[in-house]
Amino acid sequence: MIIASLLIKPSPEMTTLSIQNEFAPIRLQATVTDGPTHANLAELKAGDTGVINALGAESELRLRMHALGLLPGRTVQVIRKAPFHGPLEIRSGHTNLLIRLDEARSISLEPQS
Amino acid sequence: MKRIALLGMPNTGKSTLFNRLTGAGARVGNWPGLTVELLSAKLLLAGDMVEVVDLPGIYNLHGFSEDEQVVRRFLESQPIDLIAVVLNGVQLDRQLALALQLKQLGLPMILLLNMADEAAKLGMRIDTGRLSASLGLPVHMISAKAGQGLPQAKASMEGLLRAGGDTIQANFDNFTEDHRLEQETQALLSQAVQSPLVLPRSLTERLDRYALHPWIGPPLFLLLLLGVFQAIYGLGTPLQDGMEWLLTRVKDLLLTPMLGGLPEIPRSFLAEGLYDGLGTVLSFLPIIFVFFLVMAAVEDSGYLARAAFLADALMARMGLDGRAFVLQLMGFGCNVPAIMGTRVMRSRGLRLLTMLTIPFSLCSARLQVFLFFTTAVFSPTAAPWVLFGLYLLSFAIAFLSAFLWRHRLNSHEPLLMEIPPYRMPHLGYLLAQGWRESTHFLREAGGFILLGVALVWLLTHFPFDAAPASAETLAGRLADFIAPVFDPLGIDQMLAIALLFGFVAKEIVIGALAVIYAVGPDSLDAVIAARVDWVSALSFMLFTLIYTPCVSTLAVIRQESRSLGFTLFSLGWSLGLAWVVSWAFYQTARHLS
Ligand SMILES: Nc1nc2c(ncn2[C@@H]2O[C@H](COP(=O)(O)OP(=O)(O)OP(=O)(O)O)[C@@H](O)[C@H]2O)c(=O)[nH]1
Repeated sequence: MIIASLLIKPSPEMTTLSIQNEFAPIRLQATVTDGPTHANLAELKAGDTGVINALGAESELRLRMHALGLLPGRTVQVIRKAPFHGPLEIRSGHTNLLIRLDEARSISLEPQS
Repeated sequence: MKRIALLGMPNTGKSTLFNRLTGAGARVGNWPGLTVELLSAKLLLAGDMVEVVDLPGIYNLHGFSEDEQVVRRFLESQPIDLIAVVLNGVQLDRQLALALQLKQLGLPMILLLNMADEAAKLGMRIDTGRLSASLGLPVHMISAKAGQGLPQAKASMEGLLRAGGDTIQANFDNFTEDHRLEQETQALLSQAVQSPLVLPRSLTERLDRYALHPWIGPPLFLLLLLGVFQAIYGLGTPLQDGMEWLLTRVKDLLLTPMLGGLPEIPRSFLAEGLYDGLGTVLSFLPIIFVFFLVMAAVEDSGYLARAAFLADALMARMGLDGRAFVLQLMGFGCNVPAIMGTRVMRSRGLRLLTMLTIPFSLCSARLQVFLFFTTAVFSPTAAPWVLFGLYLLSFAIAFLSAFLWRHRLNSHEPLLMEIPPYRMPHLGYLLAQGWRESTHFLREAGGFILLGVALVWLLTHFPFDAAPASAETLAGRLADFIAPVFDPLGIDQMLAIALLFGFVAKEIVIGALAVIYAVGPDSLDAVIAARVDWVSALSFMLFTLIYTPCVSTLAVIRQESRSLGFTLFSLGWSLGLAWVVSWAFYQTARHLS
């Protein structure tokens, strides 16, 4: 049985669609709804923890974030930050993740109490 | 035939389970998103042959990635009798939602919570009975790696298959909102999963303090790379010598007496063409085996995700990301699967830029050529360093290419990926992987090599009245024709012929040289050492490193980029760059010495 032949290529229309998607501006929900009091994940120092308030990313990335355990209300810890504005290693639950600074900036945190 | 589909998030152990269940060879790698083609195998269950399909890892059925679309299309179009959902038991907090989503498809389903060993080590307790009751489907803790819990899981699958009526089609209509699933997940988790508040300080954490340290990490990576290739050298070359010895004995004791009665031309074809040509390639088989064994160990250990973390900031400056770096490392094995691996990338610019760089990865076929030339031309202490230098150069060329083209092929792709814990590679699995890859190499490249050496023999012997490989033969005339291109690089005519064939596949190069010089594997290095000095040898190696790896790589670039223009561009870029670099090196080195 050659199931590999099922690897259907996305049609050209789909490709262009997705390219538009990629260039869609990242909406920062925090700045729209709650004012500038919210810190974002990128501002945490290594070792600090925070509770996610909202995800600002567009829908595709937001789905990925959900699947990797980044959801409003969950606690995240920054494990380390790579030098030269490199990525962050963060932990949410039992999952360690690599996330770039830009994506970390789009995750706003609950105000520290 | 009934059909079972294995589904789950990337890196949860589906491939490992698939191998366990079916004994067939799916590639396994501790790298999210490695499974890009669908693998299937047959298995005897409930007295019937059942087909098991290993689907690519997905995060969400609604997802946009190519893998997720493949899975959705598969579920929409194929009748399925049972879906076996594999989750990482340790990460139920984020993975259970996928199971709830899949449950809505309305297909018979079983839930397998893998990595039971890791869950136990972390002190987690998962109440499978409770989960099973709440979800209304069988739930088992398993360890795909250790084999724990598999008999029970299999029994459950048999039960479901027996109870199942006619095969039904997945139903995509009644999906609920994702946030409802999230509430359900939380409720289930609080009922059934207990995890200690403070996690034990894990080995992974301790190792990563060094492996991911800003100043210790990168040198450690290079040290690891060096260690890996020293190991391949140290382990592989004695094995290769043994293989050469064996092949020469067979030729002297068996083949030569057997072919004694034949006329000169067929005898030369069989002995100096096929046997020497193939034998020289075959003598590298032990190294290929060791190489893939070590690669599998690195891949399976989880270190590659660390390499992505370390390299990302640097790669970002070249328009690439940490994943592109990992794909370059995987290209050290073979460029073809590495290029297919770019499917994890979403934006076209990033994908193409990565595809442009992967062919510069020093793959195992080129490794053979370099092993041969470095041992023939350099001293035993210098040879491994030259080889290591070539690996570094392979990065440098890839980086340079990306840097120069980053504005043309630009992208704004987000990067978010899992860093799995370190895992001890399983020796049995590694051996199987090494074996699978080396036999795969023989099957895939075998035909090419056979054809190649036969053709080279013909070129160097026709017309038959001329002295073999002399200027009057076809090869001699062809070499004359291309001499203006290769002379400025210090690459002599016979080496140029080998390069011409190397365009098809680098595996042919050494075999072609054996045929051209009409010597067996044991004495080819002496012949080369006598004819080629170190400057020419390096120039030849530089050209081999940079120009198009093989026809298969071109074909897969065409397939994955879906653009003939890009394929031709990639071809032209690597050929041009190879010439310029070899030329610059050769001319400089000659002037200095
Ligand atoms: N500790 C432990 N490790 C496991 C177990 N099963 C699989 N692994 C490891 O988990 C890693 C991922 O396994 P794969 O089988 O490649 O996972 P996959 O789901 O097929 O991943 P993709 O190919 O990315 O979809 C490998 O390093 C395996 O060795 C298990 O039961 N226990």
